Amino acid sequence: MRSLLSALILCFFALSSFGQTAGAGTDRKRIRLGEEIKLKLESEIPAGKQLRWPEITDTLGGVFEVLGRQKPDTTKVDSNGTLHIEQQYLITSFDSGSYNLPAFPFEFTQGNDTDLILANPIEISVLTVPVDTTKAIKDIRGIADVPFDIGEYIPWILGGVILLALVTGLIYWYLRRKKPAQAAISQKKTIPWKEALLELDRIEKEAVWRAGRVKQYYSALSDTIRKYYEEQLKIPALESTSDEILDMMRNRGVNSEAQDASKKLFRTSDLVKFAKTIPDEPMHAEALILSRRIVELTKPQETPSAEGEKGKEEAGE
Amino acid sequence: MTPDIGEINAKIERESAFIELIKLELDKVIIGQHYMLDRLLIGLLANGHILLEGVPGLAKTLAIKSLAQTVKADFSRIQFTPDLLPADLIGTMIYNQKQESFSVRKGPVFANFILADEINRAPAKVQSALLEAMQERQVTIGDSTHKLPEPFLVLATQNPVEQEGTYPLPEAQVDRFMLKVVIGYPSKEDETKIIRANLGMEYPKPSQIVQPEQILNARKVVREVYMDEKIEKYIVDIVFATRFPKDHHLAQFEPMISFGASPRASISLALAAKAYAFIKRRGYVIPEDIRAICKDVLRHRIGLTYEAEAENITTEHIISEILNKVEVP
Repeated sequence: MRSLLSALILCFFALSSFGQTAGAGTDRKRIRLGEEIKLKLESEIPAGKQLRWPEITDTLGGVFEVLGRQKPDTTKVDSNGTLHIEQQYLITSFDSGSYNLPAFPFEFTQGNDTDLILANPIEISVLTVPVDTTKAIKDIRGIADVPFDIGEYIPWILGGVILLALVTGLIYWYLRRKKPAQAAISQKKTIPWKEALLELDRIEKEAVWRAGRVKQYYSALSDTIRKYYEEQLKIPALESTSDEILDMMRNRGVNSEAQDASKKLFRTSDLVKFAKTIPDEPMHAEALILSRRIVELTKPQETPSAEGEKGKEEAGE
Repeated sequence: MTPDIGEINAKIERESAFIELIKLELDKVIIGQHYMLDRLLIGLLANGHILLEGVPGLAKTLAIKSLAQTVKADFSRIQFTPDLLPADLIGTMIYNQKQESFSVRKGPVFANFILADEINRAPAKVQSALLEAMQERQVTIGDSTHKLPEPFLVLATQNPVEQEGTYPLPEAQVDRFMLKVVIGYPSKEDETKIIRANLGMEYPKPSQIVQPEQILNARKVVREVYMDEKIEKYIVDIVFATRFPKDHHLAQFEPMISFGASPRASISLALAAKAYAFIKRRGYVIPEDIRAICKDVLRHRIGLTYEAEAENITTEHIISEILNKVEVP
């Protein structure tokens, strides 16, 4: 039971008859219009008897409204099996005046015997708020300004600062993480025509055609040139067919000798790769010479002013 | 055993002579539309059925009819309508009162060339009956099964507009067409020629110049056309890119594709590429052949999501991007 109930105004009327008791009480007897009253009904019932609890509907005596009710609380009083039952209600009234809560009937039954105990009625005074009619009627007050208190904003400011620090830290970490990778790429970036010539040197050294792997030899040659075109001419040569590459070269105005050499190399390579053609041996060496010639013809030309420099990666356009 | 390319080339030279004759005959009737005519020949040589799609008036029906007329073979034209029944197509059992027995009356599907005009206008059960015949190349009427004649080629047309009252072919059934060819309008020059030809007193007719046996022989040679393993890998890479675009640097299409091309697509792509090489009188397949027929083989075999449709992404667009990303051998 709450502490509030300890302050109950003792207004408890109990009656007893042959061991059973019953009563009703309220926490106050004077309220203002609409104020709540706690009404408590309780009873003790000996073992073997049955109790019919007073029926409480939404209103009491036509004046009081029942706002809520708790569940009945049952406790064992002694070893004989006597039970104590109590239930609390929340009631109010909106009619000023003095009213009686009705006498609640508790009906005890044992076999054919019935005992009725009526709790004493409780008088409740419902008061109105005194109004000074001599003064003018005032409008409802507007919303009051709450005085500024920095203390209320401190957790938000702190949260924002922490979040900002976290985001900054993450960005810093990400950039630091990316930088070495980018640096590695830029270090790795080499000059396409030099790369291509190195690769052609490697193909010549390996000379896999001597071991009968002619298809692999021509695939390596055409792949090297296509990869070189991809980087040097910035055309999607690896994803294009021979005819498409030749069309793109023509559209970009690549010099005609390079176009002719590419056409010859690609045609021969396609025949070897897709038609199982095996060219004559002199053609193997010629294909390598053609590939080198293509690189020489399409590599960026060094200008006198840029002598010594690595040269800009402008294709032979 | 490794095939001899020279020998294949010689066979192609021998067996492909009628191709030029067919082209000449078709050129008499059809002005322009070489793209469509090449695809019709691919279907004829690769033994694959063709679905032609285009707005009305592009000579779809005329082209198919003319192709069939150049071959000395049976030709049936079936106009698909909403009230068509499967029995109208494949045939039925007729009761003979004199003999007191049932006899089979074969339907128009028993022909070498079938023109299924506006296939999407007939209900699903009729489409299903035809597509089953296309796949099995046999028809069951009553309790007897009848083989369809060889060559057997279905050339279906459908109209992309006027979708009201049509029955779009389900994905599983449209997959049975080797090629789906989308036809566009003719050029200004071709259209001028079309007007002149139609204003003449008599419209030319193609002559029957090819025997069915010639087609069957050519089909055998088409299968002999050499395809290197590099080309096979290229086909598989393209088809896999439709299934797993993310693995081919096409992650943007991952939410756009509901299902990729089937293994039947890979087979069709390989066979159509061989037929294309045959038409070009080449005994081996090159990547250009794959790229030339790729859209016609794959466009009806890729399922698009609602997201793709909302963003106006077409299967053609996806195929183009795949071809731009997959490395050519």
